[in-house]
Amino acid sequence: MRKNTGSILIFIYCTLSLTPLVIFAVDFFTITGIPGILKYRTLLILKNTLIQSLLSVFFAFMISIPVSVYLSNKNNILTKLADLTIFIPFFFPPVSAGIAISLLLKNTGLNYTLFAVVLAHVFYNTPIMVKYISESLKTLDKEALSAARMDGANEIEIFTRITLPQISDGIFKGGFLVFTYCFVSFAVILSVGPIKYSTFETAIAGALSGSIDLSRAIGYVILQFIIIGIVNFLLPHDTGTCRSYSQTISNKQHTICKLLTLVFVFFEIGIVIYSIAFSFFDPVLKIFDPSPFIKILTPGFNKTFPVVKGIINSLIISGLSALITTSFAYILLTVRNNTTDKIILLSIGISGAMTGVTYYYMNVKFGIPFFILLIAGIISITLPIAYSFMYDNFKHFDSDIIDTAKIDGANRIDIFRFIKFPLLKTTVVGTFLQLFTIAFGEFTISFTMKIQNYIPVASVINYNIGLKRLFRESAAMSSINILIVLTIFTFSNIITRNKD
Amino acid sequence: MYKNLIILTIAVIIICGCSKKQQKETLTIYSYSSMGWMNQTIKPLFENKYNCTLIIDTNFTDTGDMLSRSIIEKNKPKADIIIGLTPSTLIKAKKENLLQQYKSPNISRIKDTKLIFDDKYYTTPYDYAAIAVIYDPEKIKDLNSFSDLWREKKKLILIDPRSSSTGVDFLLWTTAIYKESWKDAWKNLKEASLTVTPGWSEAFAKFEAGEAPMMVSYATDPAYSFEYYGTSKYKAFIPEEGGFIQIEGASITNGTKHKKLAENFIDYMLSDEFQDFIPTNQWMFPVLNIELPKSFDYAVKPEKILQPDINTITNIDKYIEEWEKIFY
Repeated sequence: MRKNTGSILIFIYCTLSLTPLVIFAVDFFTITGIPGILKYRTLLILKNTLIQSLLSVFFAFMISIPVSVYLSNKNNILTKLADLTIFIPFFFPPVSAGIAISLLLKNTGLNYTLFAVVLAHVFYNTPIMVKYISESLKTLDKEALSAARMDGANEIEIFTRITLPQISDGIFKGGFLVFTYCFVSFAVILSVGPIKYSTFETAIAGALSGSIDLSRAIGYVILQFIIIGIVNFLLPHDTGTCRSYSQTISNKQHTICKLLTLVFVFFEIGIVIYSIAFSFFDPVLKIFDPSPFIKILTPGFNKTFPVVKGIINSLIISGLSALITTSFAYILLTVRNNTTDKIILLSIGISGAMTGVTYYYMNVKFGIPFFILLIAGIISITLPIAYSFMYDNFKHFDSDIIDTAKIDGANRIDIFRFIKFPLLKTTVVGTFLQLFTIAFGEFTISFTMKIQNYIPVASVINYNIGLKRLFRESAAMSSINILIVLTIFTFSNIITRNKD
Repeated sequence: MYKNLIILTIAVIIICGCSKKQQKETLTIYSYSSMGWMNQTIKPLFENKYNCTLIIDTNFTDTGDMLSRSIIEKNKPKADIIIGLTPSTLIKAKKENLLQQYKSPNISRIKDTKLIFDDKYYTTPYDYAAIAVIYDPEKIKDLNSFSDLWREKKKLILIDPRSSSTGVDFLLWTTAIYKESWKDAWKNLKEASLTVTPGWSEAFAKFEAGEAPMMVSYATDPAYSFEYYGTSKYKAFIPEEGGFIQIEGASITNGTKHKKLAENFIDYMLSDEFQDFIPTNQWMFPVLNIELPKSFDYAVKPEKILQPDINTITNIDKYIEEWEKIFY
């Protein structure tokens, strides 16, 4: 029964996510488009995308280990700041990150090279790896560690033979997400990447708007999806970990980890601050000047660039999509099985650019309102994130309590009201708020749907301001967006921490 | 009771009839983002003149982007007019059967018949400018020949022809200069380039940030620089081999339900009122003989104009594919 419900829900999700693509493919894919995909260029895209993705995963992993060890052992201002960096991969505009990194590497000769791509991806995605590994480290079996030490095992042996196997779940899950985000990278590649390191996602955008070869675009979408699928199915899932223990580290290790965490926080937060500072500082006159903040809120400016309307729309759309996604993920997790785990993670490989175009096509073909399509598009890309965020808490939920309640005669509603919801409330609310921030900053779908005349949203309005050479005004709007997101994000962190 | 009901029914019919009468015709225009200025300037003027509603959607990054959307909407078109077609994108639009012919009575007012790039009138030219390389004169000196562009490494910002019409025109320019050996020129350009951006705006952002002292742009940029900064902060370079002119056109779509109004708009684009807005908003030359602002004294005009081979324009996708191989 439980398995069936999970399968039905997954079927509904797949139908909602894939139907627009299938309908689009039926109308626009032609056999003559196949030669466009079966070219040496496709192999080169695959090879170079794999190189940059694997290198990014490797370096993100190497940096994550000491930072995660420190985070799982300490609770101070540094760990709070390191925790905060998780908002970067999901909200911080990749275009801003790209500009900041290209300015950072200016005059070094490293700009627009593989190094720049990997650096940008490491900046972007290491916080994901840190989150997963540090969460896994918090669940280490302390008794096994003590026993190994008593038996004379050294720290390297303990790490490789006890710690690593126990945190492998977090490593694989974090590694898969980092790999996928690098593999489907779009804005980072366009900002700091050389053409050689184009991804399928940039090739899809090129085929959609440059060569206007819709068949080739659909072919790339399918290829990308298959590759992410293969990686997902090859990775071990659900290796099982122990729970609610903490390990201890020696003073020497502590100092090294603290130092590396400090460097990590400085690097991550530094790039964000650098981007925000641009809105307060006039680079031509070299003076402090907050006037762009006032300008973007004036009625005249809003007539051309509806900043206020965009922010309000984004708040409404984010609220609704986060609410639906969190509820759906909650229900899905209560009936989860290995199939749901694999399919949900696989859907991260769906092209964002293509999602925007195919959802727009649903309006052209069936007249479905843009508002519904935009929310549906955001749900389809945020559901895997919601699922992943709540996964551990559901996986380790003590089912004995439920069984006891059932024996005591509690029905499903009672179990939800008095047991499940109170215990999982903080996780659910925290996930809702985090999804809210992700949806608020969502760019790819809103941008490719090109519906700003009907529903202006904050991220695209900001992009349009930048296009008109109003770079400081664009930076000011980015700062306001970041402030909104950071406020919500900090709030969600406080809620989540209260749980602990 | 019945009397009141009859009066109410008649009143409802009259109100509905009146509201139907007052319903204005709506004309929808697609263009790319640089044409956004039309919403503040052209829209109110045209709406007053023809008592209609004008929707100008400029949310497209480039002509290709706009064309892609028009293809998707081919069976249920939303746009009545598409603005910004160049010779290479016109070929694609015609191939997809997106456009209809219209010869405006104002076409005779165009100052040079060479600007009419489609003799079947599927498109009407409205502006033009020479493609150029703009540069910081403090960092780059003595530019004469095209090959001077690759004198130094990593100094030039190029624009991707796969995603930008400016990029396509720069590629066409190189084929017009170097003919069969255009690929060798691009191998040199690759070495000279710092990066290739997806569009003009991204290139300009990097150029303004000082990442490189040269970028592919337009010969009218010094006019912009003079208008906004009071100096010709950057200069435009057109090599001695000759310049390349980018011409943009507007077309009526095949499925329009407002043909007459669409024709009125095309006529209006060839009026002095519309053309007056072109120089200081689009930073291109108008196609009619109108007085130009003083800043346009700084816009560079090529002494010799090169035309790419028509086969090159027709087979531009193959050229882009070859170009791609050089960069992969």
